Amino acid sequence: MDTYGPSDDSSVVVELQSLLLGAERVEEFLADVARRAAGTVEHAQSCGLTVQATVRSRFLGASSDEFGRRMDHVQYAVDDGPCLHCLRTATPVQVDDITNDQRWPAFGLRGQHEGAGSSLSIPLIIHEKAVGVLNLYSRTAYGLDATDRQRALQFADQAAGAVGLALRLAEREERERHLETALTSRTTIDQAIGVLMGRAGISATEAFDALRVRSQHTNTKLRDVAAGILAELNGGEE
Amino acid sequence: MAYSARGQPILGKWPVPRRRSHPHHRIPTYALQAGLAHSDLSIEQLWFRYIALGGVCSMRRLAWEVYDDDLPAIEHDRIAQALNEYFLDRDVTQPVAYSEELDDT
Repeated sequence: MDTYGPSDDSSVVVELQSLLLGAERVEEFLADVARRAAGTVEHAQSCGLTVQATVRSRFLGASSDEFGRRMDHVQYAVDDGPCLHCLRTATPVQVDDITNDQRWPAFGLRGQHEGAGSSLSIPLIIHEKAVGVLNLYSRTAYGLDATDRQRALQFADQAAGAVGLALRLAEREERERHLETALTSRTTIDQAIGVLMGRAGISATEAFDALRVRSQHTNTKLRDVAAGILAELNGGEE
Repeated sequence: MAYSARGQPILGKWPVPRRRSHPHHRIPTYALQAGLAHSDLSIEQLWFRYIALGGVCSMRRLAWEVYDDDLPAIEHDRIAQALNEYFLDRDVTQPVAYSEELDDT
């Protein structure tokens, strides 16, 4: 792994902007940020990045390597631990000895099993709210010192803006995907309504109701009922 | 072909629910509100599902209408269908009532 020394704020921000522009997807960018963070903090063996995605209760994660990924997922699985506490309270959390720390017993046991010794979770804050968390992991207890903490805090400050922007872009992309799916489905339903209106001499409202009742009786989505009508129609014309 | 004759075969196989009133008769919205509260859907997510079913209201209007006292029957049923399809994805069968079950006029 590349090791990065301390660098001035502007170079890190410019580098993160460049990573953001070059990334195809937000997960790819977050993984780049995690790798960059792991390289910046000298004693961190691994870094995970957790962000709060738009859908309720869903986390989006990326990590510098498999160890970081497993450590983050241990916490998602028990819905607790220093990362999620940090995200929810927007305050940094340092765990010097994961095996003997009593604050998150479920995380401690699993973390020990994964081979983790200590961790540091730093919030990425925009407008006084945590949009994500930078998690740094060491395989040894007391493995992360005051200098590591200082560098991690600096890096989190510099990365917060770019991560926030990445999330906004991802939200917009997700909306576009949902809208595209909705409009495709709507076209199918409109066509099927037209078929029923033409064949049965009924109104659009009655045709919609007919599709809806069929959907209810068969536990099938309305668009699938509509697609079935169109498929039969196309089959009949062949 | 399944629908070769005009009219009766389709209506026989695809029954239209008997409304006791006009489709624009207003239906109370409590079933929609309960369904939305039991789901994990945001108004935006519900709106995408509603638009997919032919809905024409803006997202803001939809948010207003769901929490209004009552709605035209056809709009009520479109939103109920959107919610029921969400529950169908989670193997829960039709918890939200349609207008013909709620219309007490």
